[in-house]
Amino acid sequence: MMLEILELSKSYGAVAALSGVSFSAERGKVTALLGENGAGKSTLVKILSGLVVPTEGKIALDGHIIDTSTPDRASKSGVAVVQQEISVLPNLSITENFMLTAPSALLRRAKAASACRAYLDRLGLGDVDVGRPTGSLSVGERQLVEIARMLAQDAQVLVLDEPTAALGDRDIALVHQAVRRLAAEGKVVLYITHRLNELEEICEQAVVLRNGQVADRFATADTSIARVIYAMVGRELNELYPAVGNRAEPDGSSASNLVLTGLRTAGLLGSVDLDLKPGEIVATAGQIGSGFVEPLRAVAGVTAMTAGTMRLQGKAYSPRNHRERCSAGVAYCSADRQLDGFFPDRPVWETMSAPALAASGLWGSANGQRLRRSTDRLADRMTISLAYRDRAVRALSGGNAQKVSIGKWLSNDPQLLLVEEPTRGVDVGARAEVYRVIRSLADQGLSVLFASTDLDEVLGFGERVMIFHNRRQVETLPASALTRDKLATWITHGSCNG
Amino acid sequence: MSRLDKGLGLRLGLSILLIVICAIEVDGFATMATLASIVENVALIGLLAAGLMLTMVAGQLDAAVASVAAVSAIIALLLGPYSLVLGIVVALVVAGLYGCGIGWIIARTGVSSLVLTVCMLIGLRGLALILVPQSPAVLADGLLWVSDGLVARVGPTTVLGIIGLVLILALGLGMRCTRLGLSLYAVGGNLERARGSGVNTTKVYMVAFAGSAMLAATAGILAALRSGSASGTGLDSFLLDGVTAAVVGGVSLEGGRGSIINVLLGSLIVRIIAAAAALLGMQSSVESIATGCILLAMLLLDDALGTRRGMKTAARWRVLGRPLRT
Repeated sequence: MMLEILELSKSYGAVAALSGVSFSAERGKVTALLGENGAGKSTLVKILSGLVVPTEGKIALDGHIIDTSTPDRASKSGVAVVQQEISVLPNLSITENFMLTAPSALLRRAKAASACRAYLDRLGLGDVDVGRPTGSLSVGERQLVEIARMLAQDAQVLVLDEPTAALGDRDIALVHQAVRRLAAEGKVVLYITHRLNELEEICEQAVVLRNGQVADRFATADTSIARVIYAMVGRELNELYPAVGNRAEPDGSSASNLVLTGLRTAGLLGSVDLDLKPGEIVATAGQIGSGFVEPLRAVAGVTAMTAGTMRLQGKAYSPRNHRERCSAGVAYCSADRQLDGFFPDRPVWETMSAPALAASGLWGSANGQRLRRSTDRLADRMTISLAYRDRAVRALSGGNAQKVSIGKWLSNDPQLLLVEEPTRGVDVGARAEVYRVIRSLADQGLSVLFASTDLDEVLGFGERVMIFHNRRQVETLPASALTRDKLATWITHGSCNG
Repeated sequence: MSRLDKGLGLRLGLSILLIVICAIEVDGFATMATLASIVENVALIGLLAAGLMLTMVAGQLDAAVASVAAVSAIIALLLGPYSLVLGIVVALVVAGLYGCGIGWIIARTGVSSLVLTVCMLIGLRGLALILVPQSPAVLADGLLWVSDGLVARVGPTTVLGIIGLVLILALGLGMRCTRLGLSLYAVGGNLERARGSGVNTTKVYMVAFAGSAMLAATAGILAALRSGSASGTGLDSFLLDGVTAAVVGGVSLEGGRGSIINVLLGSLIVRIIAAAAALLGMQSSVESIATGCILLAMLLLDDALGTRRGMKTAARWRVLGRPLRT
């Protein structure tokens, strides 16, 4: 009893996106589908959801060939795909979202509400009020409403496309729990992810795609991260994190770039202290809600400082908004790149030249040619290919999009870069590239403060780690003094002994 | 639901407050005749506002309602000498087909509905003037009983009022109890996600604009039958009256939000002010100022109560680079 992908191929003209991909995913197990951008994952997902018709090959469920030639037929065949962009409508209630995809033309609210409750209960979300507007739910809960909607249409095969890419810890736990339950019910679950630590957490087996072919298949119980990365990238990736460049005085005599003394905000219970040197990369780590993002937001001027002082290169600094932050030479990239990082539907150059344009004042020149040329200079420093300049940012890979959202600030010649979740939604190969670029900027004297929920990233990329627990800064340690386990203990217990 | 309830409570409270003040302060307000006239006009303006609400909930705006109403009324009256029923049916069918066409164009080309329907507002006004170049189309003498029948009193309202209210409430029921109605809210909430949820967005736009045009036509025909004539320049106040009632009724211009009962209350508020102004012998300029102030006050109150504030607003502020209120 399983889903079988049989010799699936798809080519666009001379380019083969998939060539002869075969694998099977058993009912009752979570199968991870891994691969870098361009490996063929998204083509496979589109074939399963009926958006793309394969050039060759078949798909079978429980031994019978199924028809996925249109989205409608795919869902009738029991295949449901939860896209990264979920389609739950925020202005409708949970029940109304359910009724929207139900077949009947007349709405029976009471009946729909009880059915809806039953499905959500199966996903571990039974106690939520189904009359609430979906917009008031957390992103993870919305994700579950989407999955529940598909269960209501009797889905047997669930394809989850990076369901946790935009989620915090609590929501990730919610989704994981739901996925486990679905597998236990005997559904086929295909789980696409960039987070390798999810492999061991919820996936029993994994299929790795590379260049449109199956590069490796294994049971996750007996494999190493190194093997996974090798299968994905096709080479050893031992230098995911770049080495710290030469700095005259790593800690000591050189002047500080940013000094926080007794900083407090409404979101913190304790005060924060930090002394950030030029060229230094410091991480803030903690669980969601532990306040670890607060220092970045306070320095960025997004949340107000309630006590303490901030000094930027020796001068008092207290930004009230983004405009004051920009003119002080501080760059800030929030975790929500789609919303804050770039204009998704506009060409790359418009995003990359926006800060320079804003800095040139209300009556500054907005000459398109000049802005494009300035974009070229920034793109060069960020190692973004010039070919992308006139393309919409939405069409770029996660890694390039992140480089655009960071790189746009370079025109203001920043002294300090604040980044939330620097590589969320960026695949492994491109991740090393993002780290390398930020590192090289740091080696030129830029100070970097980043907040991340990815502990490996915190330890590998940060030189020092500010640890947060229960909305307090509990400790600041050099990354070299920590291990992953120690750091996990710190952020969950607020001390080094659990 | 609580947000909706707050909006409903606000409008209900304001209506009652206005009625009480007017009943005490304005001579001749607390009579059956005034009540009947208010309800009748609420029904008429409500039809327009309900039509506008269909398009506004779907995230669009039909600015052509006044001209559609005028042309429909002229068609119905011009065909009246042959058969009034035929005239009305033809006018409604023409309006429906026109609305389907507009909806289809907007769905397929993505042009701004505001621009497209303003073009129609101007163009159809020209058509109305071609259809009746000099003297207005009038109701034949043999059909004047229709005019009398429409304004015949039934309880606190008139036959026209009842026809209008029944249509409006039926529409409200349809929006609440059918998947099509829900789809309107979905499309206005987020077009891409509605599509992803399997909503046929072209169909939804066609239904919204056809509904808007047919309701405007109904209002136009009823108004023309009531007065017994339809001129090429008539009914031009319909657009602003309808939009005012819809906005006072809490329909979001950003789409995805609005309810019939609130729109009815919005129409009621606007008509109470108009009736009181007329009884006090106010100039229309003073009445306009009063209506404008009420509209502004409702917008600010809705914002304060959080009944109108959508997520889109928050998103826009963030993109502009201003800090969010947290």
